[in-house]
Amino acid sequence: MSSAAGRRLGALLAVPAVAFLAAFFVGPLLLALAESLGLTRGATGTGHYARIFGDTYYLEVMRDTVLLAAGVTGAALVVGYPYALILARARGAAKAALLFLLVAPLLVTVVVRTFGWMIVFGRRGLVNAALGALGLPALDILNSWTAIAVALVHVLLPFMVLSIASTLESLDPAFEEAAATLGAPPWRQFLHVVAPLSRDGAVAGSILVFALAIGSFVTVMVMGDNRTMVLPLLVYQQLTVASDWPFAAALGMVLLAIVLAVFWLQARIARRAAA
Amino acid sequence: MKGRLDIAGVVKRYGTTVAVDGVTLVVPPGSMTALLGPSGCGKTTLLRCIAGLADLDAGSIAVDGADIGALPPWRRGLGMVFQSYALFPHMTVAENAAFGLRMRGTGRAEARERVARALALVRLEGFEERRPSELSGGQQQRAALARALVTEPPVLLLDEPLSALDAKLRHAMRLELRELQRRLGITTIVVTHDQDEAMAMADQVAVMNAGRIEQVASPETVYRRPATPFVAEFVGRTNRLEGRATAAGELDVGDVGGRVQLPMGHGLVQGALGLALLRPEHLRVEQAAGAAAPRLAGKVVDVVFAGDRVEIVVACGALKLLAVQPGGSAVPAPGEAVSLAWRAEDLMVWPR
Amino acid sequence: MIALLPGWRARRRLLAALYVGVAAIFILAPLAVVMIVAFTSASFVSFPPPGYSLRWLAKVMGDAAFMRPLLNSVLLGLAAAAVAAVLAVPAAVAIGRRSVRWSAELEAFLLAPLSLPALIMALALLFFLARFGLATSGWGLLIGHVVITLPYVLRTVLAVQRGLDASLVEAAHVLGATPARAFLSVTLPLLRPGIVAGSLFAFLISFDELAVALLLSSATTATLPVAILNHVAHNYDPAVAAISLVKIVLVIVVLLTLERLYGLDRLMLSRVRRA
Repeated sequence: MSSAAGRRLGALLAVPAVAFLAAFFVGPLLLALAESLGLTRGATGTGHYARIFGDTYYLEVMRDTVLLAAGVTGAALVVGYPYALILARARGAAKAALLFLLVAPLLVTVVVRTFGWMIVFGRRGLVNAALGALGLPALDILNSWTAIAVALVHVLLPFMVLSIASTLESLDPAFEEAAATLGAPPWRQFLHVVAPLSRDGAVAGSILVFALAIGSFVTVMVMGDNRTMVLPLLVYQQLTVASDWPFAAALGMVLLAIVLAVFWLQARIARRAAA
Repeated sequence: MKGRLDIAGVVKRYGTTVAVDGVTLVVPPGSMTALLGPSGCGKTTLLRCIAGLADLDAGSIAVDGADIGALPPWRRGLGMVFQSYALFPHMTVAENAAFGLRMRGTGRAEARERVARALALVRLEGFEERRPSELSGGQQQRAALARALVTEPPVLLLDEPLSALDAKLRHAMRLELRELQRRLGITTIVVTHDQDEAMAMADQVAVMNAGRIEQVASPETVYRRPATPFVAEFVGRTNRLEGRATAAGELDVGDVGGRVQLPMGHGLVQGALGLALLRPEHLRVEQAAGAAAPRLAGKVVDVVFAGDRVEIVVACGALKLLAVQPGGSAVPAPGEAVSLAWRAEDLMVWPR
Repeated sequence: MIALLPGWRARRRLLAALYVGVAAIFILAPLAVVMIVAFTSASFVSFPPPGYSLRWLAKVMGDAAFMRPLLNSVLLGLAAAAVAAVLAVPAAVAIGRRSVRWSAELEAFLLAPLSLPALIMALALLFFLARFGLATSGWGLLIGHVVITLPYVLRTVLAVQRGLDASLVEAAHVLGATPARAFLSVTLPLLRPGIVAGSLFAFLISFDELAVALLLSSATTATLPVAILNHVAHNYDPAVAAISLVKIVLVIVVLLTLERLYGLDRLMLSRVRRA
């Protein structure tokens, strides 16, 4: 068989998958875009977008959505980095145990984990039981941004940790040892050597967590109240409660644009780092 | 001169394995000592103990009389070159070299000057702004050396410094390292598994086996008067003869079906099992059987030309012995009957 | 043992142990409270429970409102994993051959659904399928879950394929195997660990997916996460804890099988390399 024929045959193997995604991924996305512009109803208009960007309510929801996602990303980075460091250094059974601890919750529905946090933060929950035992007054934190952020960090932590850990795994321990013999105590080994050399993993993890956080609506839906609204929940409500599909499509496109902007930013950072 | 290193009774265990088993070693100021041994003998672990990268289970390590055994690596102030060089990939050559000074809070101007001096020392001027990935293997090695030397440490530790280089460069760097060490007069420990490298560079060689030092001596002594059969077999090639000592001061070697005269003061009592080792270059292949002992009769089975020398394999009974002669000398043909002769004092003998 | 170490190394180890302890509490707390509340004897959620019983477990196990969706979820997960594998494995083989042009672009395209919020995909798919009257037919669920899980199978199989020695297939050719024979008797068996692991991931992800399931399921096709969410939305009672416990046990069984068969750390760390 000639190599050209082999190449053609090889490429054919990818056709079903490509066709499937073209039909059921790209196609629907284009349709949603058209819907948001009113194209499917015979008109072309940016009216839905004008409504979103002209209304302070929607702008505030957008701001809260981005702030929540950014806060969750920052917290996951701070909490996840040490875990990744310990995970990457661990060997044998300790490593398997750390990994299991990290990923086991990943496979339990977000709803269940959110329900768990509701029990923890609820009026008759774990936190208030502990406060009561200490003779302190009960708190009402369940429906707050803080509770939502804690639950989201819990959901997204594994993505951050695994991204950073896979970079740290490939880091030669001799770099830290070299820094140590040159007079760097542990915190300076970290600051000057480990942190800069694991930046790629931290950036990748942060982008991933941000994209996942900004698209999360179930946690907010279950834990929040009418004061805590985020963009994807708004999309969901427009679809199911208001049944305003074109407006939901426009909101969805705005959300998509934010996610794409973040990916673009990552690509730029990566390109600058490579240069 | 400063930089005397005293290692006393050092023990390092990993779980139930003893990696370093009670090593005592004195490295005189300004000298270069090679830790030589096969992989897994504990030489790298010992070096890591000295650097503080591994904790001691027992013993002490002192530089100029001050015990550093309990200090963390960043307070020991020793210089170390890693096997992989471990040059920080996100820093330039100059930034790498300046790292130790930065950790010590040296002023900018002084640091720049000392980095320039260190890079000049290893002939890397003009490479200041390069990244490690843009350097050749030899240049990386020199950059790592400059980084270790810039803080003027009392002791320099080299972990297999030449193993990542190709054969030609390795020979050149051997001499260069040696010359640099002499010029700076810096106490140096080099870990290597290559006996030629150890011989070529070091003032004293410490041969390690199974966590212990078998012999510490000059390269010549280690080669000519090895303290143990392990040292003899590790630092050069040997022919092995095993047998029982006779009343006549001979070794009855069953495998060659003959007796071999033992040298004076061999220390074997009559009837004791003995091990005798002979270096191939001490064997003379003679076509006519001379009268003088000691010698063994045999038959040539193979002749290998190796450029500057000729290697001749001679079967003596059930044993095959190797003899090495300078190239260009007259050599017998395979199948020819010959006799192998040597000077009695060249036979190295140990009780078994 | 630790007492014999010099202070700094012991301190570092102690710090790491402390950190892992706190992280373990954070990670396990919401799961643990759910498991504990599942055994409550009370008819309301409180922590700690006033007493213990199996009444809620018995109730959900006999409740069609939970068992029907559980069956739906299992069937959907199996179907989605199977279809995703059938599409992704040939595509992975095509991409893995460096001779295929545009293989990097092909890979990026097929992995793209990973990067977008599932809600946006669900929304787009809803618009698309509604045009054909298939929005809540069950086909929509399957299509949506295949779009979401295909990249996971692709990535896992690719990771295995990239680790393979290309000369194995060449050796088969030299020994007289036609390309088809070589694929069936050499490539496919070697890829099997990746295919099995990827399909398991696909199943677990589908089993847990919520956005697509929320928008594209009907009363008869509702999946378990949807049923749990609906229940949480209307009642805050221990039934959710009980059904969650059932699900956690199921997931742990699958996870342990995965670990036993293939080693979790290899799968996890290769899984996020591109994330």
